[in-house]
Amino acid sequence: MSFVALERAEAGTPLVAGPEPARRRRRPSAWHLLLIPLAVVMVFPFVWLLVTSFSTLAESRTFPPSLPAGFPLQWIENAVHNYSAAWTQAPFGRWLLNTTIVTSVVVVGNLVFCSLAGYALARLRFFGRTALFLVILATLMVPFQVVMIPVLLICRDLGLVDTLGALIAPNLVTPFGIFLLRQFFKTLPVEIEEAARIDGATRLGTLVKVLLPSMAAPLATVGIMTMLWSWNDFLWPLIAIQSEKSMTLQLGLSTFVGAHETKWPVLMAATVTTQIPMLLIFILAQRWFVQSFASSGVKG
Amino acid sequence: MARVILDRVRKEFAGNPPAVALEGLDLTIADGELLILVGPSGCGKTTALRCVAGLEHPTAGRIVIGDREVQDLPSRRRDVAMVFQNYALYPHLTVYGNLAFGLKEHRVPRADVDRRVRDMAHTLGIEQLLDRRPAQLSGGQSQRVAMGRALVREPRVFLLDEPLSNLDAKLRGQMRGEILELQRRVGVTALYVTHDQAEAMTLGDRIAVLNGGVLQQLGTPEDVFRRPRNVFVAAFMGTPSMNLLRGTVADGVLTAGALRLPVSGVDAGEVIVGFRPEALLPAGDGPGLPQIELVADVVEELGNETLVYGEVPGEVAVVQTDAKLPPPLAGSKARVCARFAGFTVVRPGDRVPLAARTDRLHLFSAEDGNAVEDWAVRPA
Repeated sequence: MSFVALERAEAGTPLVAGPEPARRRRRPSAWHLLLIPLAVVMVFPFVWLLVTSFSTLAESRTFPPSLPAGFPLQWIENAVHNYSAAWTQAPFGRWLLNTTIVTSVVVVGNLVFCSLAGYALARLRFFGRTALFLVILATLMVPFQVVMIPVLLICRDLGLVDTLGALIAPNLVTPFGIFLLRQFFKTLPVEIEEAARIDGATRLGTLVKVLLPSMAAPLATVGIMTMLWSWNDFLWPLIAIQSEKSMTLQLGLSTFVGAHETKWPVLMAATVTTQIPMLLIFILAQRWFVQSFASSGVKG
Repeated sequence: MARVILDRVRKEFAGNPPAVALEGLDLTIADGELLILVGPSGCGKTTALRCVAGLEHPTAGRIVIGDREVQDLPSRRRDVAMVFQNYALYPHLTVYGNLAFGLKEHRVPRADVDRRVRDMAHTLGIEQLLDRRPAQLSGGQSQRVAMGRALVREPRVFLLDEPLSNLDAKLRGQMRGEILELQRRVGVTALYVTHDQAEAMTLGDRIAVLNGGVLQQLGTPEDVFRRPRNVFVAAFMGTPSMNLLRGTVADGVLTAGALRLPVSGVDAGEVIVGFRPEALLPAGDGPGLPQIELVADVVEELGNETLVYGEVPGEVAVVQTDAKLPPPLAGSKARVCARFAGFTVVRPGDRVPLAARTDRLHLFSAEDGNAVEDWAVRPA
C-alpha cells in the first residue's frame, strides 16, 4: 500500500521561510475625521469619572469642569482620601463579594442551561418544539418592566426577597442565550454528533465532549453578555434587595447619593472601583470579545 | 467480526403521506464480507446504512449483528463504526484525539489507547499528522483519518456512506484500492453505500441494487452486470448504460426495430431487448449475426475506446434510473451507443453497419420489467 507516498505528495514540501512581513501600518484616512471625534465623545465620561475621583469636593462642583489643582501630589492625596472613604463609609467589600457571587453563578447557570435548552431546541425532535421556541423568542420582546412585579411576587412566595437568591434564580437562564446557542447548534454538522454517538458517547457526552468545545465563540458571547449585564444590573436589585448586607455594587453606589448632598469624588471613586474588575476581564479576554461578537453578529 | 442480517426492514418517514424509504429489505452480509449498497439518489441505501448504525430506527423488521438483535439498541451499544461522506471529524480535537475518542469512550486503558492509535496511524501512513487539527488536513488526509477513527476501535461492522464522493477522480481511484486492501487485511464485515458504479463493481464481494426502497438484485458484480434481474438493474449498472429497445415476439420471432431474431422460450407479446454497447460489433467482425445500421450523431473518443451514439430504427424503452434526471424529450428517436476500439474513425452522420452479439442480448418483459428466463436464440 502506498499510503506514505500519497501523504508526501499531498503535503507538499514546506515553503522556505522568508523574512517576516513588515507590520502593516494604517495610514490616516477620511474615516479618522469621523472616528476621532466619536472616540473623544465616548471616552470623555470615563475621563471625567476618573478625574473627579482625584479631586476634592469643592473642585468637583465647579462648572465647567476643570482639572483639579496640585498635580500630582495633591491628586494622590485626594485619591487616597476618596477611595479609602468609599471603602470605609460603606460595606464595599461585602458588596463586591455579593456581586461576584451573583455574577459567577448567573454566568455559569446561563452557560449550562442555555446550552441544554439550545441543544434540545436545535436537535431533539419533540412535540411542540417550534411552538416552544417561538414562545421563548416572544419573551425576548417583553420589556423587563412588564414582568418585574410578577417576578417579585414569585420571589416573595419562594422566600427569596432580600437574599442573593432573588438576584440569581430569575436570571439563571435567559431567552437571549437560548436563542443564540440554538442558532449555533443548528450550524454544526449533524454528522459530527452522529459520529460521536456511534463512537460510544451518550447524548449528554456528545454535547459536553464534542459539540460545546466546538462552540467556544458563541459560549464566550453568552458568558460575556451575561456577565456584563449581571454585573451592571441596577433595577432588579433595587426592587428585590432592601438590606445593606445583600446589596450589589451598583445598588450600593446609589447609597452614596444623598437626599441633600452627594459626595461626588467619593461616589466616583466607588464607581471606578466597581468598573475595575470588568476592565481587567476585558483586557484579559479582549481577543475573545472581538472574536465572539464578530462571529455571532451580536452588537455589543 | 460478525454477520449482519436485515430482516424485512421497513422505514417510513413521518409526513403526509409518509415517505417510505425502505420497503421490507432483506439482506444478509456474511462475516468479513464487503457488501455494496448501490442505487440512484433517494433509493434508500443511506437509510438502510443508518438503520444498521442505529441513527434511524426501523419502522418494522429486525436487524441482527452477530447473534444479537440490535434494532432497539442505541448506536453506542452496537459496536459498529461509520465513515461519513463529509468525514465528520471532531473539529476541536487533533488527529490523535479523533482516533482516540471512541477508545476513550469505551474505557480502553490509556496505554492501550496510545498503542492502538499509533498502530492505526502507522497502518494508514498518517503518523506525521497526529498533532494536526481537521481544518489543517487535505481531503485525502481527512478521509484516511475518518477511516482510522472507524477502524481503530476494531468494530464488528464497518459502515461507509459514500466515503469517496468528496475526493477528486484520481484520489478516488487510489483510495478505492486502499479501502479494499484495508478491509481485506482487517477482515471486518463492511457495508458500503455508493451511487458510483465503478466503486460498486470493483470493491464489492456482492452488490445489492436498490431502487425506491426495494431490493432489485443481490449478487456478485458479475451477476449484476451480466445477468441483471430486471430492466432497472440493466439500465442502472454500466456506463454507458445498456441500450434498451422495445420489441415484440410473435410466431417465435423477436422483432425490435430492424432487429429480427428467431427465439424460443419466450411467450408471444411485448418485450424489451437489452444489449450493452460492447455487444455491438462492426458488421465485418460478426458474420452471421443480426445486423443493424446506426446513424452516428455523437462520437466520444476516449483514447482506449470510442463511444459512438446514434439513431437506429425502432423505439427506445425509457427506464428512469434517477429521479433527478429529466425524462427524455417527447418524440426522441431510438438512440443507442456502441463501443469500439480506441481511435476508430467514425464521423457524425456516418452510417455504421453493426452486428449484434446474440449471446449478449437480454430480454425483459415489457409488463413488469423482469428478465425473461431460459430463452434462447433458435438457429435460423
